[in-house]
Amino acid sequence: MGKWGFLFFSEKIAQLEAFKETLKDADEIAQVDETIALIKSKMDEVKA
Amino acid sequence: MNWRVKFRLFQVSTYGIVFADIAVFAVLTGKYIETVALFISFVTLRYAFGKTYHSQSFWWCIFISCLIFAIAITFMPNKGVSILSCVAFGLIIDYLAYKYKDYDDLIRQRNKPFNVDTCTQAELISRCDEIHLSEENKKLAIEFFIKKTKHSELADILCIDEKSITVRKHRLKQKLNKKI
Repeated sequence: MGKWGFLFFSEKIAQLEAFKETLKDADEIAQVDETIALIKSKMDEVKA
Repeated sequence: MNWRVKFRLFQVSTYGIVFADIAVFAVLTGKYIETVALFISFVTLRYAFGKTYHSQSFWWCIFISCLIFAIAITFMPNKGVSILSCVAFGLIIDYLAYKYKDYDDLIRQRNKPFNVDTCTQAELISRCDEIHLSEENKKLAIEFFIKKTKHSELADILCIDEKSITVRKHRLKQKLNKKI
């Protein structure tokens, strides 16, 4: 994951966060949270 | 409907807002080729900078994007003057977004409270210098908070009892973490 990947995924997180606010179903919100956490952990791994 | 499908629809609709804004201004100004050149240069060149500004709110981001494109399309020169200037406009937007993000990061870093448990060695040394700690205390701070040396080992080196080491560590931690 280079510069492109970092920008791409940080934008994806912003989109997922905004999308989460439109959801009402708790299961779907949890799935989105899980995806966000997964992307963040991948980004942290690369940073480290 | 699966949430991934809903997410794709959400993405399409939000990008659609930006594309509609771009299309409207391209039609209003008659700068079709210039707009395409601006958009391609904006999207591709921003990756050269590694980071770009993002607002905390996604919708504010969409609004800012629409506004910036509207201004850029309105004020960029006609292709009769120079098509390359459209590329330069894209580059300028990317550069400003990068510089703003850089500034934002710096401010966040400055406002972040110092913490001996999470800082790096360079940050700890800089903090010790900032609060004018002696060289001995600086070395001890590195042993305590970076190398995590055992209290018993330090007590042996300094020829004092372990309780004094614990007290010294506690005092150093308080002093280092204290807001100036």
